[in-house]
Amino acid sequence: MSASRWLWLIAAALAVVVVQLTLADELTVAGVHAELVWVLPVAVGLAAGSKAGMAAGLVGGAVADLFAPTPFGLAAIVGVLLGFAVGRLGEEGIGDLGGSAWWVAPGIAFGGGLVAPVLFAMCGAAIGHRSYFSATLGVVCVLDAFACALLVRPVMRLVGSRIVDDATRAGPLEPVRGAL
Amino acid sequence: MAPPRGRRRLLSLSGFVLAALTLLAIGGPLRSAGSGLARAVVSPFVDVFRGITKPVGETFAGAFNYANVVAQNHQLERELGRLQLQQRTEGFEQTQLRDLLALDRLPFVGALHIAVAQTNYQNLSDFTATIEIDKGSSAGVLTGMPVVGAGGLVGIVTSTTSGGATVTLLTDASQSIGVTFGSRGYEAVVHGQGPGKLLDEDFVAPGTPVHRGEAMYTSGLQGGLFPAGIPVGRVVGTQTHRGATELSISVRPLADLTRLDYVDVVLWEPGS
Repeated sequence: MSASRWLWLIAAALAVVVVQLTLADELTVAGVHAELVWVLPVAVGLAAGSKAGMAAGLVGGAVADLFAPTPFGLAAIVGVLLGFAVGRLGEEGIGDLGGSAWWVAPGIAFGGGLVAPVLFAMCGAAIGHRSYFSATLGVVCVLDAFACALLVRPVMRLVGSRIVDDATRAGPLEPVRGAL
Repeated sequence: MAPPRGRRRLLSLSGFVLAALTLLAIGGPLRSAGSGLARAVVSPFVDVFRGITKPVGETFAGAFNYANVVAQNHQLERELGRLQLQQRTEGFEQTQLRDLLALDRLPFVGALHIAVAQTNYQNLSDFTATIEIDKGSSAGVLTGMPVVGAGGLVGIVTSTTSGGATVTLLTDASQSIGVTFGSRGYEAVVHGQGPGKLLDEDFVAPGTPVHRGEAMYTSGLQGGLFPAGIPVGRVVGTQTHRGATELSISVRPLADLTRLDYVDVVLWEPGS
């Protein structure tokens, strides 16, 4: 990835933090709020493939970790894994803004948002923070899933097009010239 | 010859996971260096956007937590009535308090030194409940010291630097506090259940007289983690399940953990 793409990712990660601190933190349900950190790897992974998705997960997670009391690097690990998994789908053109049905990207993002907090709690437990498996984890999963589903398409439009590297993804299928 | 695509992908994944693990291993120093810079970059935008989004958040909170808002309103009405009564008897109570303190100095008010600290940052993660204060080891603040304020026990210092410290609030799921309550001095342990949640109490035998509104204080027994007599919380509900060997008690922290602009660090080392 070029330096300009890394800079775009850092800017996007900081923008996500601003939205998190000003809006998402205010919208609490049952005492918890949605964590927007997972939106970036999901959106970039779908738009630009697994490598860019992992980079978005690493940068987005590390920036989010700067503002959270949880161990530094934990969200980055989960972001990388999420970016890889979603990016593999993105490389096959699944969830593509132009080639797939409108609901595919939000559907995948919903799944990603649902799994990410569980993965985060599991990684946290692996390094000794077993209290992350709290009674509110289920609510956090649902909120994160809805937040990801809601924001994935706008973030794909805003960030994905600037990160996309055509060499790393197959993209939507195109008819072979002269076949018809 | 270039490696096949699947292998390159695995190599990339290993590289990124390794980078993330490196961040996790380096941890603290990297966070303290990057955190200040990141906050300086973000805070002007946060200040501007917060003015716009705060009403949205409050509307959302009102709509989704309506029952809570009504309950809070009733609680505030009760509190107002209590405060009005308290104001009228304030003079008498102040005299009484002065006399009591002179007779029997309360452990955490009278005998112990405190360091007044300002809260720099309140973390709002769904997983942990902490605040960051502006007093650190240079002001005598050490890991394990209790923190009080806003009406009772706030939490415990869990890490310090020379100019600041992190306080884990008593609602954090990792917190367990030995308490005493009732006229006969029953002992129990309260546990944090996560940010914004009530505390849960263990080790209370069924049939123990526990009354709604009863205050709980640190017992000072639990390996000397807290000095005795710090107000912790008030009972909001009890439940006895059939066949259970313990009472299930819900406790609301006495300290208002949403308003912690200033706190007092009790300069008391565990076990002292």
